[in-house]
Amino acid sequence: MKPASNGRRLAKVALWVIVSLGGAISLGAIALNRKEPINAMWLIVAAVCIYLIGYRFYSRFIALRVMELDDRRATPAERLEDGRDFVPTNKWVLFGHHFAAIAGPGPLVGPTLAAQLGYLPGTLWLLVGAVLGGCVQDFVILFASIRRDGKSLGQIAKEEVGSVAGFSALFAVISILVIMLAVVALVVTNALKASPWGTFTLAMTIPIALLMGVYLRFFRPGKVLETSLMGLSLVLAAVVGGQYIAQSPTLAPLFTFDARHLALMIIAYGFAASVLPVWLLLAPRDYLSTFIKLGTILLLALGILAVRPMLAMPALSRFIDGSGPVFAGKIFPFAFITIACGAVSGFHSLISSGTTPKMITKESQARMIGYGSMLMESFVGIMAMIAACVLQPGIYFAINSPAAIVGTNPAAATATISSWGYAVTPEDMQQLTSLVGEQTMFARTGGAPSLAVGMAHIFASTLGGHQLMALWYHFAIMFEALFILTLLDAGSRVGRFMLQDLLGHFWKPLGRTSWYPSVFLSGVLIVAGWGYFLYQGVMDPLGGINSLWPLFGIANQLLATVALCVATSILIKMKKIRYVWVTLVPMIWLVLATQTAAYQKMFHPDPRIGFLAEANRLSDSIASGRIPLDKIAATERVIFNNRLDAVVTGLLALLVLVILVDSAREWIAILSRRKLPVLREAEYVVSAMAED
Amino acid sequence: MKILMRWWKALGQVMGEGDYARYCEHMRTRHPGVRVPTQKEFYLSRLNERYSRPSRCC
Repeated sequence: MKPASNGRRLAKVALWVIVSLGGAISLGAIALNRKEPINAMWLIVAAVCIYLIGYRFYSRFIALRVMELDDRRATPAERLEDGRDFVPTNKWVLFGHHFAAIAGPGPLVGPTLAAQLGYLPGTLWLLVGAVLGGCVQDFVILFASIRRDGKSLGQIAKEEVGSVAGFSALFAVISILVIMLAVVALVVTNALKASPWGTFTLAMTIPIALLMGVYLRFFRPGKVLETSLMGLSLVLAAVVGGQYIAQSPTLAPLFTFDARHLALMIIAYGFAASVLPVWLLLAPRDYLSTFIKLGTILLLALGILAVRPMLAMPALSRFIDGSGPVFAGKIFPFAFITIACGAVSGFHSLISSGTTPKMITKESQARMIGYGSMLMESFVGIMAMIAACVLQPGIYFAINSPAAIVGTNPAAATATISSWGYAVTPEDMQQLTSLVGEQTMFARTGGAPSLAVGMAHIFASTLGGHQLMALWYHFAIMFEALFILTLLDAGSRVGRFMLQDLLGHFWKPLGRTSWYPSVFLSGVLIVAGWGYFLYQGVMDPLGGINSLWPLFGIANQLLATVALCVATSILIKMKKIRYVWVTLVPMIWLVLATQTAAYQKMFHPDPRIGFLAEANRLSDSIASGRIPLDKIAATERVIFNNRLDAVVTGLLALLVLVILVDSAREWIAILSRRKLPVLREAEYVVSAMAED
Repeated sequence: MKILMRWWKALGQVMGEGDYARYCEHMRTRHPGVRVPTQKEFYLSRLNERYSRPSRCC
């Protein structure tokens, strides 16, 4: 670094004083203005200032002091360059690549659901959780993988902690994947239920993707950008065309399905997509969704800056007492479990120990790519929170409350919601329904429809006014559904490979990825796994999201716990005991939040929170003859599913405890000098590449 | 306009436009004389590899 002159140093100090003051003032404005609505810009300014401070100071501290990133040390991309996987890549290109890989539906849906508590709890955790937890996890795991030739989290856990931890990690990853796929599929199902416009648009993305696949395969191999642009224009045409389908009395019924049929179709689709050749459906759909994802996130940011909307939701709603209709449970632990990916996402550790470490040119770039892209992800979460909170709270609750809680009658539902103190009338809902071109907006749980209304509100205020509201709403639904389906395809396929890897431990032939029976068996197992949970969610009288989203949040945060635990082991072995709190403190917090949430989801006496309490309540109802005869079989299935959910939650929590205990034993052995710390890093090779 | 073109090119890089050219360059300099797969073969084998490991998150 060049020594800065006094004048420049002063200017720098002044700049950081301004950034800190800006952050402090905005946070103060957010915290103190409890009575009257505030402008969304306060959230944006607070977030950006906190990110800047976190990036400038905390990530620098981690880079220089904790991990001692060394640019003279050659990265795997340089040492093992093969022109395919290991390729030194421009840091901005890699940043885009990494961000596109980590950004998914989680940070959009989680904050939307957490908005039932008011904007404050979710926003604070999105900021604090990202700066001190999520970004640190992504950054440290990326660093660890760079030092180990780009090995995966499972391999690192096995080598640095032990084979019990490694095996548990692999098993945990597969179970978490299955639950994740089920819950995102449920979000799509709920968004498309009884919506011919949305269903038509999403259905059209299948032939469009096939067309793109054929074009890329046979006519213009590798010309991804022009093909994506072509696909994008076809998808936009489908969004516009959907309107005519929805209005046509003959065509609309062809694309109108209930949740059960939609779920079955999505399961069939997921299986087909995961076994078809990737070039035909999976890859082109992925290109399309990456393209639209990056574009829409940018558009949303510009929209919020242009409109600068007021937040209609209060800072804290009455549901901080744990009685909320969207999900049941108090702020601790459920706000943290619900926000999940926008603050800390365990899944990112798989990307940080996947492709990215093999493409990084210099160790110091891990700071921008690991820490920086998670800050962006957190910002996406903040934008989703804003989009949910610009809606009138009464409308937000009418969209997101399941019918089992507020009833199916519009007058009764709006009366219930108004009695909570969030005024809404049947006319308000009728007006919204016709504005967005849907059949009903009541009980559209899952977060996607209310996020789409919020986004449409912001977009329509910038461009086109109320006439275009329906178009923007369905554009937003298409955007969410498109990359959720991409996640289903890609996730089912990866899950298949992971399962084969795991089964190969028990019987070698099952691990062979070219042996057809094994491919088929593991493909069916994975899709049947998430398909079962999806179907159960669809049939759940409480709407499914209430039980599945917390399960997903717990699973995801448990994976983050594992990642931070591995990171802590590495810091201890690097003799960085002094700085071990960097990963240990967020890990302990996650252990507290996830274990509490897991315990409450299993044993809480409130049937809306505890799976077993709900099962017992229902079996009591059957025993006392309060369930009509024809409903008994269905109720028994719900009882079984609640017990199953309790067992799955318990198993996941137990698995993570095994990994923690296994790691703690290793830490104690090293700290008490019974064991020498042996790091399994790749050899040190001096880099021949110039620093850029 | 120039900036726009640069952004467009960068976006292409992010999505993998230049992968084949880079691979050819690598093979030419490091392994001269070895047969280089055609763009079609390269495209297909890369896709199979890419979607066999976690590439998308929640």
